[in-house]
Amino acid sequence: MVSSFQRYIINKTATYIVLWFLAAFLNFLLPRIMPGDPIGRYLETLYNMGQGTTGGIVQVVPEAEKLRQQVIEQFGLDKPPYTQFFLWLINFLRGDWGYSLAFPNLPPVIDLVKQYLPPTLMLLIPSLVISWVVGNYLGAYMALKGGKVDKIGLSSMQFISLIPAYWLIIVLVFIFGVYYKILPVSGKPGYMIPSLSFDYIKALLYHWILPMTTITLIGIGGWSIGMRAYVIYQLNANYMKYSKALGLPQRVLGRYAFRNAIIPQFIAFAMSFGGLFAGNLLVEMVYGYPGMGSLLSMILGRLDIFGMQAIFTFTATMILVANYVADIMYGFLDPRIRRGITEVVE
Amino acid sequence: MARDIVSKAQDLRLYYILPNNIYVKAVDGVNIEIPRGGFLGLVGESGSGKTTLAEGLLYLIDPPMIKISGKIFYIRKREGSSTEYETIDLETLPQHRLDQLRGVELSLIPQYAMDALNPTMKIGSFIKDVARYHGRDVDEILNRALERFKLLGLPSDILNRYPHELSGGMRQRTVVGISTLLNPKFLVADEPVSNLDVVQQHIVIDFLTELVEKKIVETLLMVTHDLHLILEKSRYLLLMYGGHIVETGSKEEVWSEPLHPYTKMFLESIPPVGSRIEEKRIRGIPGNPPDLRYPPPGCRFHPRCPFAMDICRRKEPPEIEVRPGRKVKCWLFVDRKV
Repeated sequence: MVSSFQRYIINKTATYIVLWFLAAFLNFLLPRIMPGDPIGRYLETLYNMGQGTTGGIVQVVPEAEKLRQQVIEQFGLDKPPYTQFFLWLINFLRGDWGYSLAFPNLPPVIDLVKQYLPPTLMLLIPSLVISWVVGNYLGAYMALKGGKVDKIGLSSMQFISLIPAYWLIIVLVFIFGVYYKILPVSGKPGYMIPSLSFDYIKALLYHWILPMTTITLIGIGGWSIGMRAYVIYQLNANYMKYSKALGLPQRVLGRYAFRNAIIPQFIAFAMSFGGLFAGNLLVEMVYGYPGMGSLLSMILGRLDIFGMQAIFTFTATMILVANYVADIMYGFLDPRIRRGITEVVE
Repeated sequence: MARDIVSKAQDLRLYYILPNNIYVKAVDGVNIEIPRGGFLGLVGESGSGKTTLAEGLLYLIDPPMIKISGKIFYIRKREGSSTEYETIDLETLPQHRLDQLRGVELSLIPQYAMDALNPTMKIGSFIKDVARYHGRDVDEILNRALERFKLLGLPSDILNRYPHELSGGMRQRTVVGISTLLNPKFLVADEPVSNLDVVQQHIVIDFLTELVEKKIVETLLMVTHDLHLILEKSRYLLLMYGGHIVETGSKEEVWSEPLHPYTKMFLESIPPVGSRIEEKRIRGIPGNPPDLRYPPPGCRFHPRCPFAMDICRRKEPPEIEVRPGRKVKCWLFVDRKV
């Protein structure tokens, strides 16, 4: 006996597993068919260590060809593609994400992620939570107030949500970093090496304020516009007219509207969560904040195919997990879907 | 006199505003006095403005419906007095006092009863809210709800159900129960049986009749196009056509001596109960009801009226009070009174 809700969960699970395989396969394939010479690029990095020059190693050094063969063998790039894929996939699942070609000392990719992910999450989780809460509150307020508040509120929120993040952070840096000189102009805590030490975290917090403000502001714009639309939709529903005809006061009607409008926002929140793990590329790059976005830009710039396949697959995994959770959550938040739990399907 | 009237509208115009600034003149210059007490009927074809007028009488006016002109009064016994009545202008009443009246003294069984309930709220929770915000004892009201729901043939676990767990007919009966829960003095029932099968129709009508007979509901205004039902139950009729009230009077008067040509043709258009088709030819009214965006000038009924005169096409007919409570809006009766 399987309830329709259980069947729904099983279907979803199967779909997401297939999607994950597809994503992993594409993340394995695409870096490899990308133009460029990843091994050559790594050898260059190796050669230029401490010399400060770049370019042309492969042509210049006669041993380069030998060295290249060595690297290819060492990383198993001479094996048939499908063997490479499955070896990589199994290792990925076991937590061995390979070695990054972006750095001369070939650090394990998973160590890089462990180092760059916390600053990103420290930036993006609070900003998502704050912008979600504030945005929903503002959106509902605009919809319930109506009139001038709504008109002015909506147009300012539309303006805020459409500001490009990289532009806003430049403006904020100019105001607070250059003009008033109260906040740092760039995100890296000086020449400190990323670690979990107290000093580093303190320095990070200081550098965290501006990108955090930027991303939160823009997020508030988006969330509030969505919430406003959902609340207005609820306010026009017939059950609202009826509740009013029975003399329920405005604040109760507002509560009903909010309760029903927040359901899709919960789902959207859960779905946004997956995207956090990729970092905010533009803001991190413009501000030089040491997060996943910065790591990704280094890895892409240095043609690090091992880094790419691991980090993209990691990001895809997190997005899929978040979407999966959102899909399941829907069933629990909306009684119309939840009903399936008690319904018996032969 | 005030004691005989429960609700009154003067020169009421309620329009719907469409996106391209076109008005639908759903209620266009209505003067009525709803008599106090008993089962009353507001009758008219679909699209004649019945629902708009019904909602207007309770001052349930929300965009896109707008009030162009007119006043709406509710008349009730002054608190603490058995003989004195007070007339309340619903428009000037502060919102919180209007909310206090709604559901308690003025109530509505809406036409959209099928989706009148909050989809994410159990029936019981909603009733609790209604009781709580009207300062009633929650348990007492819940018990009363269970009794009433039983009379309406609803299952006993209904308070723990969500609206989507009920059939359409059950939802409609639930709304009938909730709308009458606080024993409103003046209840407007807008097509309360339209989506029900015959058995359920009887249950609802008997339920409402009992409330009226026991004086739990003082005045019930039934909005419907079902003439059979109205002729059987109600003591007083208001006939509506094209946004106007065309005739009012007690059921006997209207039935035995319809004045307005529309009323005559409307009454002829229904087969008498028990008649066989060969015995009496059913006659419809030729033509179509007016488009309320562009109503005809003069009398709204003149394009379909066999007695239409020149003046009917040019000037809106006045309301003629034939007897107290007996009115007709037609040029044919102008000279009779003079």
